[in-house]
Amino acid sequence: MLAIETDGLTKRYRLGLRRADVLALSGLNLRVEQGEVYGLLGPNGSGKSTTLKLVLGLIRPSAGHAKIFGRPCATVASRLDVGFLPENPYFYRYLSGVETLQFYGRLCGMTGATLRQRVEELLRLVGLTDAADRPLAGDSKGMLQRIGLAQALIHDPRLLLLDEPTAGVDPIGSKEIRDLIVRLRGMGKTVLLCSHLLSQVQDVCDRVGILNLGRMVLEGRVSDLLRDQKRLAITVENLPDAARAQIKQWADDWGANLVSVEHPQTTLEDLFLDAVARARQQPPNPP
Amino acid sequence: MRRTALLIVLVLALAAAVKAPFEASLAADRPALARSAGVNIKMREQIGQGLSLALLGGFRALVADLLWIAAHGAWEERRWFTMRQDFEAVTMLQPQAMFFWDLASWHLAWNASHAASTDPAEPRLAVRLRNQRLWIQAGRELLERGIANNPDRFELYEKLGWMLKQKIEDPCGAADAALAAVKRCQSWQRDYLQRLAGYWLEECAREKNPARLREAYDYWRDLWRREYSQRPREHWDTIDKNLSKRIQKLEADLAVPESERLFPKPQPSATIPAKS
Amino acid sequence: MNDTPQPDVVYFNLGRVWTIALNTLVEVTRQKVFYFMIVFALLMIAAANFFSIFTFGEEAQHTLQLKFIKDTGLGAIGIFGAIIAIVATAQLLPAELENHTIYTILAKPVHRSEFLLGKFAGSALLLVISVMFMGALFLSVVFLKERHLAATNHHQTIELAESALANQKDIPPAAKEQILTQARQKADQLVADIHKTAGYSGIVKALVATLVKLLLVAAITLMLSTFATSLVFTVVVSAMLYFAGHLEPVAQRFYAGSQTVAGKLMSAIITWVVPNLAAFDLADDLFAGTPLAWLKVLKIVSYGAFYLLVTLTLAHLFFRQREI
Ligand SMILES: Nc1ncnc2c1ncn2[C@@H]1O[C@H](COP(=O)(O)OP(=O)(O)OP(=O)(O)O)[C@@H](O)[C@H]1O
Ligand SMILES: [Mg+2]
Repeated sequence: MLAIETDGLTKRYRLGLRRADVLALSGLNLRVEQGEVYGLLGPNGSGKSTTLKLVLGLIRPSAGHAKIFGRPCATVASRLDVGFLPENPYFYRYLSGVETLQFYGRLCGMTGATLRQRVEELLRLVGLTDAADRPLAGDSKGMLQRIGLAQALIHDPRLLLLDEPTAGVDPIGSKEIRDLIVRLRGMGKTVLLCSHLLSQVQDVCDRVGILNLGRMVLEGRVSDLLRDQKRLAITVENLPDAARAQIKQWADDWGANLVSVEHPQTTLEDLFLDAVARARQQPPNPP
Repeated sequence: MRRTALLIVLVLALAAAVKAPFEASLAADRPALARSAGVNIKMREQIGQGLSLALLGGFRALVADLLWIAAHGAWEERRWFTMRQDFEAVTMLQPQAMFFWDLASWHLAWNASHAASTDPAEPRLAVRLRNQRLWIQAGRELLERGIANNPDRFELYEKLGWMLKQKIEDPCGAADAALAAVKRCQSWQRDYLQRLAGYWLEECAREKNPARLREAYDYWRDLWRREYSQRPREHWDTIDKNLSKRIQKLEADLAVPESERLFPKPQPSATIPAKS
Repeated sequence: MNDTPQPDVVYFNLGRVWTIALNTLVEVTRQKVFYFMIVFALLMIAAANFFSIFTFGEEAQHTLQLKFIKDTGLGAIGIFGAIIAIVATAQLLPAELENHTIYTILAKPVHRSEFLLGKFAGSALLLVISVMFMGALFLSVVFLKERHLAATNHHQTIELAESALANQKDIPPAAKEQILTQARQKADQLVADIHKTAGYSGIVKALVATLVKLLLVAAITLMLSTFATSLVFTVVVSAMLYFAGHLEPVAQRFYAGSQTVAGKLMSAIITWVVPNLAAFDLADDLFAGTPLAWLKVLKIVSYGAFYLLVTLTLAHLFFRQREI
């Protein structure tokens, strides 16, 4: 069973009589396997958050449908196994970290000692034990992001939807969050995360999809996508220094010992920019 | 989307369908809520009441109280026109409070009119008497408006009866008002109102309108049969004894045939049963 | 949790409603509503001390003094309650949307109807607490005033009789005793009359009806906020409906007589859709001397419950399809 499955998922926002509609997402066929970390990338306004909201049933698709673990997203049952971290999360300013997590835990039907234990566990997991008892009113962005992660994890869901989990967090915090995602994968969780911080995504994602103007323009395994097909990197052994300049043309003639020919890696960043640029050159087919 | 719109229309339709009968049932408990409650009142007055209701909301009654206190100040300083204006405002703000209609109309018809009739600043008697009549008329109009606002209540009809009897010297009108009060009264005051209506009706017949003498007799006779004849004789108080005398006098005055009388003259031979 | 299979259907759950309600209660109590309570307390104290003894229809004096306190109390509870109901409820949904907390809540296995009902219940709890607090204060002031009036009236009546007797020396002791007994009886009668005028059960009935009305006002406000795009819209339209609801009986009469199409339409909407909020104002009946029987109060409460159901159902229908 797929963790997330969408078929022709389309969202059109109506802005009123006078203005043209916004096609925020168009015909998305997304398949996220259980246990993988999937990165949904794309420039601002490309439809990443829209996709998450559709999957969570917060908004309704104009066409197509989506399922979580086989359950249609319109049902409440589909959310039994999902944790969600929205972009720019805020919480009730008057609740402390502990109270916030307890509130969300109760919504998931947890009570008493189980809940208390789980809250403590999560605070330790996201590294918020010090700040657990003070109101969130004065909390920094990074704190809020961590609380957001903790509340998403409160009921130990199998699937996590994270919208820009590292936005606004300092490099150290960002690294910690990425480590956490890796750890979650180790625990067998499925993660769908949105971001445009590409170098960060590169480290944690198994697969990525790039959205532009509501369309998927590129999708694949990170290791495959980053393999550049046009060039070859040749690693040679015992090559005399003098021959270095001519090595590209003359490797065979020189009779060197060819150890390996590898596909060198570019950065995800380049790939991203390239994919978006290409998509912008050829205007999308009218739906 | 379309289904939701349909459901919304359905819920609204259901609510509208239940609304009228439900409110009719509430109005049966509280006549002031009835759709027909305002039919006796002029449109202008209705709008005034509605607007004051809307503007002052929950503080409407309180504003009425404050104006009532202002009216009291005007009364102390014998500023009768100001007092009357305050009364108008008070009764518009809280038309359901009998207390206000009652006391306000009494102040106009009794106190203001008396002050006008004894006004030291006005030497001409005719003018003083005319002013007295005008104040009594003002009190009567206010009271009648109160009745129009509370057509199902007996209290103000009784007050109207007293006003007609004492200040306008119209016992026939007073009798009609008392009869109207009896019709609306279900509480312990009913006993007293029934007799009041009878006295005034008889007075009306004897002093103003002899044609109503029979009506007065019929009224007393029915009342006697319905209410008093059932009571054990020893429970008759002076009122009831007085009543039997009244009826006897009316029977004599109207020459009611002996067979139809409530209190026939004792017939020596017929009434004493023969011993066997 | 992972090993046990998840159910396919999540049923409506009052526990979740309660969780949201309590959280909402904390949220609304943080708005400055409790200042109203202080203003209310000051108002009641002022009302209780407003009258110096005055004679404008002698026998009606204590009636009027008690009426004044009752009008102040009921009026203030009605108005403050309505302000609390509208202002506190109107910002519930906008605040959730603005803080993005609604995303995290509805992303949990929570029905939208549970969320909405929880929000309403939180605001309703606030209203219950406020009315209970103000009502208790109000009843105590009426009680103190009653005690005061009863004591002074009782005292004055007997003193009057005693001073009358003191002026007349040559009355036989038996007659003297009889006059005093009569005066005592009259004084007791007066005290009983004052107690009746205080009308505690009538006040409690009026408070119950007011509370139901306030709950309905809160529900209407919440319903408006499910589709409103601005807070100002919700507050303004709620306030308008509040007035229209009180004007409903007048509108019904107007409907019968109106000639223009616009007038007919306007009053038709009010007559058929807007609940009659004036039905919940028992103050007039209280003072007209015809307090309603509990059964009739119950009928009014059920009228409110009916409209509460209609309003919340509509709110649910609007909110169900709202894009968040
Ligand atoms: N409620 C809405 N009403 C109208 N248009 C909307 C709404 N929400 C999003 N959009 C539009 O839909 C498009 C996709 O928005 P979305 O938020 O999904 O983008 P995103 O990929 O998450 O962007 P970002 O990186 O800035 O978060 C944008 O053009 C946005 O303006
Ligand atoms: Mg986004």
